Amino acid sequence: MTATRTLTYCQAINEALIQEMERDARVFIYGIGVPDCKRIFGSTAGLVEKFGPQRCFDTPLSEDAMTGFGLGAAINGLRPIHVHARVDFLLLCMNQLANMIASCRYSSGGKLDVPLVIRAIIGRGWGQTFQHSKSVHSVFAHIPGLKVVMPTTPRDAKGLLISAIRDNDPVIFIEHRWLYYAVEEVPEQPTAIPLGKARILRTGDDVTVVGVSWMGVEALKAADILKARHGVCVEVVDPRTISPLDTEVIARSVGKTGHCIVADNDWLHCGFSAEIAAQVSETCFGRLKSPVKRIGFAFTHCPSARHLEDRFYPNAVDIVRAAEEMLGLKPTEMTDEDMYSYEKKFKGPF
Amino acid sequence: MNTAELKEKAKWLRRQILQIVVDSKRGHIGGAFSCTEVLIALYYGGILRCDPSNPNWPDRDRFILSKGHSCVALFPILSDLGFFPSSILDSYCKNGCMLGGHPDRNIPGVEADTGSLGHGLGIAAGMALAATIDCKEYLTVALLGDGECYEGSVWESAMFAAHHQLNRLIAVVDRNGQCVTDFTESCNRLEPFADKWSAFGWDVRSIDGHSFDELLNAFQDIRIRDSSKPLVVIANTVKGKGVSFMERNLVWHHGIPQGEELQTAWKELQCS
Repeated sequence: MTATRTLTYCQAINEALIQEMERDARVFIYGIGVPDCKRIFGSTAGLVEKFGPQRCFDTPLSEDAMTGFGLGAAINGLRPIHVHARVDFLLLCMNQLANMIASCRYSSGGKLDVPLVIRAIIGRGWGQTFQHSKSVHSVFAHIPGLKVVMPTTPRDAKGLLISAIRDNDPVIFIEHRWLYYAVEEVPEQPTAIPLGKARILRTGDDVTVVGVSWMGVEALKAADILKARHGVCVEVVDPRTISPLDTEVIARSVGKTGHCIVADNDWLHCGFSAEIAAQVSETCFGRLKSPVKRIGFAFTHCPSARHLEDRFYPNAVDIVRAAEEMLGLKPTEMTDEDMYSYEKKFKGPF
Repeated sequence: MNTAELKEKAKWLRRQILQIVVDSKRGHIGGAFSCTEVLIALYYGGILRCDPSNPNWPDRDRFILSKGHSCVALFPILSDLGFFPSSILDSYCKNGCMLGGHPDRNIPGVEADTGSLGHGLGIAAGMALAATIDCKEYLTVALLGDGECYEGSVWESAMFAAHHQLNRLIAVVDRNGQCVTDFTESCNRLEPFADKWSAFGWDVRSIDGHSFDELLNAFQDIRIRDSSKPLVVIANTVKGKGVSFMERNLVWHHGIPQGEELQTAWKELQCS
């Protein structure tokens, strides 16, 4: 039997890194701030002490070059993990990612493995504004050859990171910083969770909500409200991996409920939510009782002022309102509901 | 201002920086202290031409704080010169205020949104090229961090500027020897730094970035230089300069002094 205990999302990532670096001497981790005092919000704590500066090291502000370095190391037998404290910095590496890394296996006639993991942290503080607040996961998922993972829960964060490190293709591993404090029971053993498999976070028969990353937490909150106020049972689906995408689980759920809300942690236009909507319309067309509804960031740049930022990001209220509209329900009063915020973070458990 | 007055102004600026950082609990204090004399020399030493009553004066010199995270050193100067009221400084980094943690063009006197490192020199090169095309006399000055010079885009811009003979473009590098997480020569060696700029086709002046004599000497002929090359002034500085426990201490890239530390900082900045 697999022993479990409760870990935070941050601790789960840290444990996965330690166990994989212990298991395989080819695994190493690098990036700006990886061994510094903050240790990437604590997720790389203890690594430089345990594995030394050869396998855990800081880098200069040379993101593009450091990504090329990761490719070179990966095709020469090592298994690098590159870390970006904000996904916005990963955009500096798009040439390496899109033109070199993603296509490496293809261009080598299948001869070259690229076992490279790129961890990128997304999410809000408050006042992060437009250069420190993006998600852009659909940009990476758009490119064949890149796998894109967005775990929501601690157990998934550990299991999926283990799979990402063991994968022989490049994986972008995207972590929302507000999830870092959430707890869940996590196996002590290094248990891999396969990439490309969705997870049902809550079962229900009335409406499907596909919640991506942090929006999975908001979807669970919305599910509580809808159950309590309307008796509506929401099924919350967490894709976990957005490329490759588990369309089967999503289609099965929507086929059952007939209603689909996609709550994405990103802009809607040309985004991952559009992909889900398209896939659902293709696979569930005759069974849909209402058009697919999408929820995401306002289509503008993230403002810094708190009240504007609150309008920019969607939350459980938006999901509840979408479900009410879909089901023809009268809007419920939610002013007494305590929503998540920078000060009141979700701590779990899932 | 003469050198003695500039020194007093530098003391004033450091106290302003500390006050703002402590009040707001925000700001990158180490790099703000290292570039204090550079900014004072540029704005009060008769180098930069600007008109606070007309921030968009077409013939103004363009100054770009490419190391935008040091804006807590720039804002008191802009306010002092009259670009905006000093009361606005009290709202630094507060909700709904004009002054954020990095400069943006909504702030009078700021030419470019900066903070994403590696972009300021390219923007400055574009402005300098525009001056050439428009037959304008204005100078474009960009202040870079040395850690920022790890970005490849800095060197792409450097090559472009030299190729186009943008001799009214001046880069000043705050060479404090530290980046966000490490000392530059430990993180990724920058030396021989001056030789690199020289090899990229720039005139190079390497000076003590805390000495007004050397700063003014380095800047004195920048409007009448007999050279087709852009100019880089490597200002050798000390990160955290002015507060002993912050100097060359990696912890003080950003940080808010409290308690005894704060008292020590005030004491040293009053006396220095």
